[in-house]
Amino acid sequence: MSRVAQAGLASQAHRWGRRILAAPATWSVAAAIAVWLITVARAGRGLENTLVSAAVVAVFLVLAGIGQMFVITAGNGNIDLSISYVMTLSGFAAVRVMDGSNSRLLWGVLAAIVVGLACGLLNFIVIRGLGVPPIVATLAVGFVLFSISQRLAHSGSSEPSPGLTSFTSVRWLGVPIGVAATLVVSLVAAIILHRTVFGRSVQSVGQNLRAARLSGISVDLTVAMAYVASGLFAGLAGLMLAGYSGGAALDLANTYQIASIAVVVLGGSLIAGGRSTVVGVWGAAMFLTLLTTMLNVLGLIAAWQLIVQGVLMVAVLALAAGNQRRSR
Amino acid sequence: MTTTATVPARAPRLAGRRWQDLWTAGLPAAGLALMLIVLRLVEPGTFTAEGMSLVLRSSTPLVLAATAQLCIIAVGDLDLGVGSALGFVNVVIASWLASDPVWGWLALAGVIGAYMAMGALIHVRRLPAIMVTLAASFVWLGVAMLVLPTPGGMAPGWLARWAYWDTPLVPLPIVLAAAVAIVASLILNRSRLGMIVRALGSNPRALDSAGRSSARARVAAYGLAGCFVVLAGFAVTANTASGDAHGTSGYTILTIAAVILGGARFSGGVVAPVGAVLGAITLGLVASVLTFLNVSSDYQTGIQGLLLLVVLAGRALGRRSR
Amino acid sequence: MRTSGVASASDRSTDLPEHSAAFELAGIAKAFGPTQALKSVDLTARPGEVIGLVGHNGAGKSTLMRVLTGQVRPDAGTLGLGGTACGTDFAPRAARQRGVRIVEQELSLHPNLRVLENLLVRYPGALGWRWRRAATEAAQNALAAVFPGSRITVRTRVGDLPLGQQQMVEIALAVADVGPPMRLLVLDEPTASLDGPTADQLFAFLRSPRMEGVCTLLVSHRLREISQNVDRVVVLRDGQVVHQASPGELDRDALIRLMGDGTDPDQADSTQQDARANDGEPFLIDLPAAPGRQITVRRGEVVGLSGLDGQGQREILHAAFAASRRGPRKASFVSGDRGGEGVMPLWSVRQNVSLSSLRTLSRRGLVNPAAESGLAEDWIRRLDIRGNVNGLIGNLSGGNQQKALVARALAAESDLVLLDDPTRGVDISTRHQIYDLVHAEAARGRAVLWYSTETDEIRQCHRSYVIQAGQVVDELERHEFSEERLLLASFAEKTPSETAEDEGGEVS
Repeated sequence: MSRVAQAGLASQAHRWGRRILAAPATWSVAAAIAVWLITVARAGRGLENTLVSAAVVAVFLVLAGIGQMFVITAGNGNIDLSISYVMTLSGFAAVRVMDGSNSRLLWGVLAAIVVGLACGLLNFIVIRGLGVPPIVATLAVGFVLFSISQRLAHSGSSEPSPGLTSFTSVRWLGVPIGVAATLVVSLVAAIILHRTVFGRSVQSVGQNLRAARLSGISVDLTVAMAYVASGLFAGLAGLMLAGYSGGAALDLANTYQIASIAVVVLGGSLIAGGRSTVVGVWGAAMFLTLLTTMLNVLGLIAAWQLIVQGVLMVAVLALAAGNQRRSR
Repeated sequence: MTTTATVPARAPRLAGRRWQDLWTAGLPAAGLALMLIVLRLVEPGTFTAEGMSLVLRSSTPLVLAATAQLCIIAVGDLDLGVGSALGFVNVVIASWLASDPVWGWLALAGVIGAYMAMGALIHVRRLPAIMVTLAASFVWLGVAMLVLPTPGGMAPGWLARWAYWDTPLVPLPIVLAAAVAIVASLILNRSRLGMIVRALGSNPRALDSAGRSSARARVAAYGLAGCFVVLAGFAVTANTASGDAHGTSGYTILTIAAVILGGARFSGGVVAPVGAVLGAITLGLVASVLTFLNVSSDYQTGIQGLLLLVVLAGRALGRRSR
Repeated sequence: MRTSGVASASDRSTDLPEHSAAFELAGIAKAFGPTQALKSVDLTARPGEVIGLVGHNGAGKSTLMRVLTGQVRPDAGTLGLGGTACGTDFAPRAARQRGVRIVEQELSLHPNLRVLENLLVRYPGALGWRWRRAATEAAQNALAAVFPGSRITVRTRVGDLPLGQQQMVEIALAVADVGPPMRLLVLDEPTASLDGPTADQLFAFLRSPRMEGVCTLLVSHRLREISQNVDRVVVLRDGQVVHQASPGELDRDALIRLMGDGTDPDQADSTQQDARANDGEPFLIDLPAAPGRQITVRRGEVVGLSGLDGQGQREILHAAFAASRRGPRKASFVSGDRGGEGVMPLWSVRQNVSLSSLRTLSRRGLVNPAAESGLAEDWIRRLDIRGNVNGLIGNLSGGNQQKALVARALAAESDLVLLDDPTRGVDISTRHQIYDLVHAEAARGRAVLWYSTETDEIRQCHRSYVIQAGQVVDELERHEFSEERLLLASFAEKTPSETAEDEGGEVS
């Protein structure tokens, strides 16, 4: 028993060692660390302080990115362009249900989750039912969701419950609760991706759809679950973002449509699907957030910040493409 | 027994295919006709030469930008940076072209060159076009903000004069849209280059085995898209008479919607230049109609999304009846 | 008509001096991994000659063709075209420049383009400034020359044409009078989707004045077609030319004997035990191409699907798999198309093996790593897979990859095992390991349906069906099995009703 456990531990350690060396996430994590150190050196701020304040903002990107990651892992052109709209809508729905009261906090959370799940399912139904390429289908669904958000926005404003607002900012043992919660959620997502039947199925569909089908995987169910997962994560991200921003706004999540894809691909997941990494999503989200901080610290104006971001994205992509081709 | 079973089964499939083609081609035209009827009911005053000119003027940039998107879709890619590129062209025209024409024209040529370089990079490194054009959109926006940090500037005098040129008989926007449709059709459906571009979109392997460089075809398609982006930038500037780096970000999504509305498909090199132009005008008219109906402009996005879904549902219907 | 055509062709060939061979192959060899596709091929053809190339599946026909068209570079041997040698840089483009034209089985048309536009894409730069007019003319001429009276208009989009007419377009474009003059025409199963009269038009064209001085290499499974239309029959077997003769010297039976490997069925391995059970409900598998017809597979039985490649055997397997997913008794599937239908390239051997068994390896929703490794290691031992269980599957040799895929399917809890030519490109010892395992699994009560293009593998089956055009044309018990009977059934000509069906489809 103990020998088995020992052997298991040894092989586990061995696997972890190899995984760190060859991990696709290594690139983005290293980039994030580099940017972090430069920022600290230039700004003279604390190591920990810089990291934590970046993490507080990065968690929304991490959540949106993990949802996108499940969809992209399914390959075959699957992508979710509705994430930003789902975030906005679920933010509005949650805030409307809470209406500034702590007693309705749970109902608000539930509303955000239900909205997210329903949107994910809707995306899949449109894709599968109409046979439309996911990129258009999710966009069209997003447009419709946006108009619903607008309807909510124009029918009066509400505030999130204080409990939600403090959840995203209050620290516990130096760690903001929102960050801790996102870390837990990320761990669960990683376990789902690597250790559950669903996670393995998504990866196999993304690598080789025909082979997955012939191996007994139900492709439709798997892809549907990926979109539902994406909706769920977008719902959670919208909820937390609304709490952080002190309410929902129509432009709440604009940047996340594109950024959610960027963190997945920059993190080392394959845009063509089949291989994904949650650690990479964290690395890329921290990289992009810290990059903004660094470029601010360096005194770069917004225009140069954009240019640097764009160029770095292409550079990382072009580098990663070499590996992608080798592994195919 | 098998004879009787197969013979009739084949014939209607062929007929069904033709019917589906008609359905695909007729859909954007029907959509446009529907919008015109609604417009007529809502605001009869627009049915004069000036009225039409005014209503359709706003759709000219989209007509051109959608044609740019069409060139990219023809090779099976997608341009997610066309809105930002349009913003860059807009600010260059509104600032440099008046003050420093040489640099202005060089910058516009640079846009076409950048598109070709993007096509080459995508082809050689086999990068996902979506991500490269997305990253490019950051760069376009950043560079545009360097050129013109705050909205402003002024369109060159000749452009303003030209934009309000009263064409005889037919309003200028209609003439322009027709010209774009004809030119795009000639290039994509009639020219040697267009054939090879569309061949790349449908069967790249067969193209390579025919000894024709598919890299050249992709670079050419991107260069063509760059040309249309520059033209669209002129149209934007003529309408707004000023420059704004952020002003055109919504165009990316609208161009995709217009192209799909027009009957193109994402794969297989199936593109319809006339359909895309009609689709772009239809989307522009939707905005006008909603304005006339006193619908807040905020709702337009949602209605355009619904329209897109209705069209896609219609297309699926056509496919299923085959 | 036919005899006069042959006569004129042989007249022509005698006129021409010996040294200006249309093509000249000497000692051509080519291996793909462990499979020696071509051992040593020597073949010379005169201009104007029509050569029929025949051979059983895997004899090396397609590799030989692809050597001639520059798509495959031989490992050894020399190739000459029109009297001059081809260098090591001989590629499709160079072949085209020297007048080699090819009609492949897989059509190379662009369905979104019109017929005339496809001509432009195929011969870029050869049509001049007013290419549209030139292409229209050339395409019309080519269609009229090969298929006079066909009602294909060159302005039709290719995707709108039925398959038979697409094949006609493919042939017409290949012989169009555009670009470097044609010297060698390679036709790979050109009549696969043509009806009888249309095919006759093609063969008449091969004898027409337009083809004077052009050598034609015709590959076809239809032996009557070969014997009626060629000047010389070349029989390929196991990557070698085993016989050449004028078609008059060889009758059909002689040809079939030459194509077979000559082994006596009784010498074949017949040690496999017969564990067929008559109890339990047999699997009834629908034939997709013949509604209402079924084949049966009983528990403990290994049933073969044979016949020529691409006669609907795969469709039967896929239909059986799809049906099993709706029913209570599950099936597992092994495909010989490793890249397209088997391997998960980004995964380790372990993950590849366990894919179909994840549910049984899970506890409370989580895949148990110890159980997963245990399963993978167990199968690696049973199948003697050489390689690291946690390494990428791509690091294994092709044969070992295939064994991992067999392991995946057999590890799954399934009652029916469907094998789609699972030993394609796999060496002989691996094959035998797979045979033994399949029979062992059958003995444990599983039912196996096995499609193979190899006679030896069909011989291993307890019972086999010969399939042609999706229909059962013969059923053989193991003791009735003989290569001759298999080939006879495989090469049986189409029945008149089927020909009428094709014709009806084209006309309407």
